[in-house]
Amino acid sequence: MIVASSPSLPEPVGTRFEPSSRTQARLVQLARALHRAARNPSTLAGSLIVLALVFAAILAPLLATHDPMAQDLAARLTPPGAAHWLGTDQLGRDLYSRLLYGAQPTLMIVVLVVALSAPFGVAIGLLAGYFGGWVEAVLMRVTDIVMAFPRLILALALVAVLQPGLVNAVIAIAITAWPPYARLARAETLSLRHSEFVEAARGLGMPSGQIITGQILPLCLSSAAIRATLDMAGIILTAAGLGFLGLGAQPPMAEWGAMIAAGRDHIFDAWWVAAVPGLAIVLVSLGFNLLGDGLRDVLDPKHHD
Amino acid sequence: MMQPLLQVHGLTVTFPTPSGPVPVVRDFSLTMGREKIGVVGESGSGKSMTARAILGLVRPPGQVTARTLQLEDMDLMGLSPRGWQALRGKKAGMILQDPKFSLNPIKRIGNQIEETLRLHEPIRRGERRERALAMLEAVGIDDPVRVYKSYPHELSGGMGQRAMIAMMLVSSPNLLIADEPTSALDVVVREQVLRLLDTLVTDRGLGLILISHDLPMVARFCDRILVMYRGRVVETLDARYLDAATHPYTRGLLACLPSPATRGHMLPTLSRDPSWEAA
Repeated sequence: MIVASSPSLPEPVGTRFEPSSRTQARLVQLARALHRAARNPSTLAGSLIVLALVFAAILAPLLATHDPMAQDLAARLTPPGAAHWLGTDQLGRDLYSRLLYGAQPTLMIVVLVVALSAPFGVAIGLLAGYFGGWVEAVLMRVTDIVMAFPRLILALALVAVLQPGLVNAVIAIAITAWPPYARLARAETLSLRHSEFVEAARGLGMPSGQIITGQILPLCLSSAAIRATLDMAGIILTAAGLGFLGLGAQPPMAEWGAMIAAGRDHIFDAWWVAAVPGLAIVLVSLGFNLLGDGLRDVLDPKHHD
Repeated sequence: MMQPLLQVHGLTVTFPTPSGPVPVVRDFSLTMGREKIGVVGESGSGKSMTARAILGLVRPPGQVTARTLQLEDMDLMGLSPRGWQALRGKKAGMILQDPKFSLNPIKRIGNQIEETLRLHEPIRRGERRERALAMLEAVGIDDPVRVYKSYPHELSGGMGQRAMIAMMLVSSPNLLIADEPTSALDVVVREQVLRLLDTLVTDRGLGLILISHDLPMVARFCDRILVMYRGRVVETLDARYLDAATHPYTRGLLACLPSPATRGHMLPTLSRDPSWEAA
């Protein structure tokens, strides 16, 4: 038994905690996992950053000091100060408020892309890995083809075809994001499909569909979840890239990539206009990466110390 | 005359290779009632493949042909995939070698035992749970409720194998195939699991095919022994008269067993004779 709270001291026999119900045991497991995660400062930092992003997106209307769309041409390009905490942009809009509201499209894109691409990719990988033969050949070659395109360029092309906009940006990024999940799930399935418990399930008369969903899928989930968290940083960067090129959220909506693009013209005389959303993107990407690393340590038993 | 439990005639399993099809089981025949049959032979002699073929578990590109393959009154040749699914687990079950690998690591034991029932019998949840607990008790587990809630890694090898046996027997099949069920267990536990299998098989009147490479163990435990060599049954013996084996391969295997009488001497190795394959 792993005793997360005191790794150096073996707990005395008899006082060992015995969960009395399944729910309680689950909660203890969860608490241990959280504890393990929190012991690692970088994971903690990552979770805090991601939590901050979520709060900023949800509570933007409460936290914002100004209307993010309200222009004040008299106060354009004001440096950071008491009236405008992070300064204003070329139209005199408050950057702090726009930064908070900008968290909304960012978070939305991340969540929707992962929700669309991960299940799709995992399903493709499971089918390819389990059935093998020509099913695998067809599915994995399609995966390879999609993967062969540089991600941002493929997304650009798709958005250009679909019309610029937030929803189309999500669709385009999702279409470019699923292949890694397919490869991951296929690799896991390949190692599991000949395992004895799958053989035993077949020996019990379990149909293929149930073997895939009931026996193999649960074992692929943790690696897919880790991959998804690590992927989120990339999704944010791609979304910001599309926004920067004017293919993501459309003005006057606050979006970090678009905000950097707007600040580019004033980069030497008003550095804060581009630097503020830029820093936000760097920080949030870093946060997701740290969280992903931490999750891998917690969820993957092979990484335990 | 009572209908035999399992009838196999001329069972052949071949695998295609670049240099032509290779038979791994050749002309296997067996008629068995509710008795204990031991199948012995060295690695690669086709023991496991025979068992798989009987349950329709040979994966493509392997090909199974037989003149007769009949379980009770059901003809297994040309059975649809759905037909096989209905048969496996319900009419015939298979116990695999190592419980560490043959139980799904992330599902609770109780859940896995109930899986068999869920697949084959339309009964309510409460009843399923009762049946699973009763089965766990029947395989000699002292604390069924605890094991029911446990994950495979929380059990010892012997307990795991008992759980596996419970999983296979819970929907009361008539034929049980045990593919080296004790090879992964230590000697003491091996004895317990064998005795358990013996009791269950005798009490429930099952037919058992026990696959092993442990000739004396099989001899002690089974009624009849089939000795396989390179995909062929070279000798069928009454287990009581193991010493009366006539085939040179069986004699060779017996001579290789260490015993107090041969202490201090080098054990002989098999000198293979190509004519054995033709026998």
